[in-house]
Amino acid sequence: MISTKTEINYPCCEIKAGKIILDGQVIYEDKDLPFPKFIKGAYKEFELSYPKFHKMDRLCKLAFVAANTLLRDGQLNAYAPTEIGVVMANSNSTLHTDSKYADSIKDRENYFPSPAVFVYTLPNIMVGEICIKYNIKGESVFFVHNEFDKEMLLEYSLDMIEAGDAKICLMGWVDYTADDYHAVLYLVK
Amino acid sequence: MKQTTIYITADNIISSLGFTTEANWKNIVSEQTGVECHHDTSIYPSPVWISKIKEETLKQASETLQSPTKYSKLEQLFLLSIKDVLEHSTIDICAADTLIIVASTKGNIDLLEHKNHGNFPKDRVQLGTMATQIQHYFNNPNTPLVVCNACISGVLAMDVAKRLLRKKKYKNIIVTGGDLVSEFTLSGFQSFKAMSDAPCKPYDKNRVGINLGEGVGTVILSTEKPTGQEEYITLEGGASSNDANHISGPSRTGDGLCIAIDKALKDANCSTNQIDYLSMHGTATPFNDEMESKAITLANLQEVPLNSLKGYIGHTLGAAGLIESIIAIQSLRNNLLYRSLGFEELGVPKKINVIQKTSAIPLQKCLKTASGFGGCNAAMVFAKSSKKDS
Amino acid sequence: MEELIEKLKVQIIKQLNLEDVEPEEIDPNEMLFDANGELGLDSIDALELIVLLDKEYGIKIKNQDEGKQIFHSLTTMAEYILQHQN
Repeated sequence: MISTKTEINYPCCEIKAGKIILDGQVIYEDKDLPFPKFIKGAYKEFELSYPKFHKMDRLCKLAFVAANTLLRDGQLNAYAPTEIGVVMANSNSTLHTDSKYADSIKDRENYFPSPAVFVYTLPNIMVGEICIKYNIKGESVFFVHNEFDKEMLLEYSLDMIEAGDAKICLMGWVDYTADDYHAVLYLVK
Repeated sequence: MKQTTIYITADNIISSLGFTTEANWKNIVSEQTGVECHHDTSIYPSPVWISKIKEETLKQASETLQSPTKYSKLEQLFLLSIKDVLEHSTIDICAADTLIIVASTKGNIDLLEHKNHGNFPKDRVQLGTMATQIQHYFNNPNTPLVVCNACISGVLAMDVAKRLLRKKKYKNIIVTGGDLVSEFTLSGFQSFKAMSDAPCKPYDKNRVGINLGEGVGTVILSTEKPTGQEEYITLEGGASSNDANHISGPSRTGDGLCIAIDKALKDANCSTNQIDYLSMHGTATPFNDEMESKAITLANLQEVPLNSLKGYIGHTLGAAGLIESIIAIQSLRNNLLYRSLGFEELGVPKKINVIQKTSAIPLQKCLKTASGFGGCNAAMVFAKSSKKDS
Repeated sequence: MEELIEKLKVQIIKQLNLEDVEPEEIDPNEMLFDANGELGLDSIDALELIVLLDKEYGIKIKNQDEGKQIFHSLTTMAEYILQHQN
């Protein structure tokens, strides 16, 4: 049972305001940079070496770097692909990419819908990218809620584990808009 | 340990085939399709085969809502669908132990930017905000959950409900899924060269792609056994999985979907030989249907009769899992399997048993599957039991 | 032809977000969609090349099967463009 005000003590990576924070420690910082430059800097700094990263939209890049930071010590290696669950959420779904995609179709004289942009107009794609990178084949779900209800997501993850549907769960919130970005990922078991 | 029994106590479908489950079912068993060729340049530059809800019918139906103009097209559809299930149920939607879960891939996407002509505030594009319109209309006290998980959203939303009901967090959960046919999604699927220029042909040798469709499907899931019924439909088990292969292309092996199927059967305490019928996703793209044939074979279900509903109502995205499950349940109730429309000759690598003729057959348990962008898969087992079984 | 190939290299790098690739690294005769190739192109990239041909050269390709031959290599792409450009 978890009280609503419990501090979550699982391994955690948070990305916001030009900082990457792992278990409470700032491990990378580059404030005042626009997001694309900031996240590319982190990608290079952490030597993530994953060519498909450059094809991702900003939301997925944010999720990808957060997941890579959290899982940098190979914590998932001890688990079979179907034992790993993913429970994620945000409030804006893929609004930033939706707008970008809508721009490519609003002018019928200049009508070039891009599949590479369209594919990122579903928020669960970030789950797909993480699953591909870490060979995760277990259960997952993506919620879109106006508020980040940490307790609800944690309870859901723990319920999955208790039911035997996962042994470990990547859980958290990854949101991106033109004005702000915030990722918080936990490793729950 | 025996799981809490979850009953499906009411359902509704709104699609091109009608505004009730009955109307949809009647059309389907008469092999009538709602997929037509539309020419509407506001949503697509050239004629396109889609399944669209008749605007006139929606306008008339929406007059039964309170202040209908306060709600977007999709919101009106959700409200009408939920209103219908409530009229066939005794649950109290205002109770604290009743939750609403909404499934949608793009929600009010027709209100995005240049399409929003000022009738609705910008934030109505947010799924959470859309869901609270529904919550407040019915005076439900709980913030709705919104599942946004590509084409498996409908099945997955029921799986989420299953989890919450088994933990006794709620007594009743209204699961509703819906999506529109929009310029956004039409152009997107066309950029993937995934659309058919004719009625779609799931599993067929000459299949070339999907027909998009719009609709809403709603079910009430409850831990309370319905009274006064001879037969019950139960949600026996469910599961999801990921292919971990590609963000838009289905797995070439089908192992991801097979994982979901196996897990759903295990969750339902059910063996493959107890499954009488498969209601598949069957979008009619070359790769999806091929993948499904492999998954079905890996799961040892290749003899089980199967169909896809997509030939009747198109691919309704967030609504698909719900609408198609409701129709699968109608099959169980009526012991009737509908013909998989569009199918003539098998065109998938593994031999599977596609239903070619609408036929009467005793049915007890069925399996519903869904797969979607992001490599996700979901499967769910439904069963029919009679009063004398319990 | 060489000029078109050089132009295509730059366009492809941009259209497909091939961030760490320089034009001189692309061999015009190398298979673009080689599973073991350097570029790591996939099915979405193939669809994006269809968009590129439409946007930059006014050439419409109906489906991916048609694209398979055309996108075999940069050279085959350039040849096709020269034959069909509007």
